[in-house]
Amino acid sequence: MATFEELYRQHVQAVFRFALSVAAKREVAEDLTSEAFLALHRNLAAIDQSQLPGWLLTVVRNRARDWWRRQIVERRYAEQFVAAPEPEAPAVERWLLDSADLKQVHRVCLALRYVQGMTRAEIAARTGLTEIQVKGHLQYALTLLRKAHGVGT
Amino acid sequence: MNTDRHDWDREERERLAHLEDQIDAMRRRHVNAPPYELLRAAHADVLPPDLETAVTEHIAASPMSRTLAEGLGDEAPVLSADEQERLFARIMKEALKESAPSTAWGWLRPAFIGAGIVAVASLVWVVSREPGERIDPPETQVVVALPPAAPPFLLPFEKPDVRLGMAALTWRGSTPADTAGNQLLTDLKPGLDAYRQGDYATANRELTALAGRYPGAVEILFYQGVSRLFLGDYAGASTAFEAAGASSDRTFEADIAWYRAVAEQRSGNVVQARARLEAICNRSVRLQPDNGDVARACTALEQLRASANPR
Repeated sequence: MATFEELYRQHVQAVFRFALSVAAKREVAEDLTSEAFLALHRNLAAIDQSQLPGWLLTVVRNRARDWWRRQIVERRYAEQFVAAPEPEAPAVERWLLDSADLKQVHRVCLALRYVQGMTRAEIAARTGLTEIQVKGHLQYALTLLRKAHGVGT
Repeated sequence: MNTDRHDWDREERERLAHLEDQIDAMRRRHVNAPPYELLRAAHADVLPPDLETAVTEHIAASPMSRTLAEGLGDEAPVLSADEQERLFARIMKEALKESAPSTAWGWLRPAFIGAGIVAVASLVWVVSREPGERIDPPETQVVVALPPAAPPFLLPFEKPDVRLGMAALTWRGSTPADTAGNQLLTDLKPGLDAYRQGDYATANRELTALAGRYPGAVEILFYQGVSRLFLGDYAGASTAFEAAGASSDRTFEADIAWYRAVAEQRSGNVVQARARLEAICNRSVRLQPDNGDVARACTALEQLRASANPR
């Protein structure tokens, strides 16, 4: 039977990544991760360790649901989202979504910067990347874009 | 979030020269799309039901939002060694605080202080109130603290050993005994070695890089899926198993169905996972009643039916 510290070291990355995916804020992801491991600490004697990391992820998911319920109350989210945008996407958008040269991280950085209009700092805060990483991914993607569209040279 | 062209740096202006109109058009098309954090939360099925439905419907209709909802994939950040240590120290501090016995009478001190503050505040309020002012009862807000829910039954998964199908072993005419000229096996080695050693991040990266080059190699997709399961990337695992299931190579058929159900359940698609287990159980009971895979699926199905959903 593994100790708490061993279990923490074994599962913390998976739990953190999952937490980041449900909260999209690094500090909230750390809070959720911390809460999940505290719950594990409390229940260590009773828990079937073969259920990890699923047990931890379920705690994160439940806590994330609570967190989102509070956010919805505190912030007024638009409830009418446009289901489908205008039919004709510009060439840049088709390239962003379909280019085999882009990785998922490039697509997300490009979309957050040029579609959702975020600054690099805002992109970093929401994705958990550093600002330097965001800048690097954007530079790389823009180089590919320039090649693909043959402009700006 | 009001970045506009005027906040572009010199490099952006150069590289996006002559594309400004297209960028503007792209932004206009998605101006009413949900923000990134909502897309990610809907993808993980953690939003309140009505909002979950609205955002999920939007994601289904918009490839741009779908791209954002899927997140960073393999590039998702992890905690640095320092951050891991800091978080561990924080957890242990909280855990010790919870388990520390309180000193005799010490726990009453906050109660006395709190009572004192309430008494003084009440006195000040009563004294300062104008005569004849009507006193409305305060609006009460009842907050019910739910006890932490017990995690539901989760389909267990173990690390399957590395196996290779005949198609891989005989890739491009090579025989199982003579793999020297078998480029697929050469390319598979780094990924499968990392998988054997439990380095699932490397395994996933290596295997993902191969998936496009060897679209028919079911081993790549299967071990990619299992690696993602161990990384906690259940949606990614589900995608890999789906692709593996579409392969004409049936070497991993039974395992793919099982692990796909595991990935689906853990990524929140409980109904789909249950349907998949039912399919394994019903189909295989007829054909192979003593099969161990079937027994595993049928037993899991019973446990899944019996378990309560997580709150």
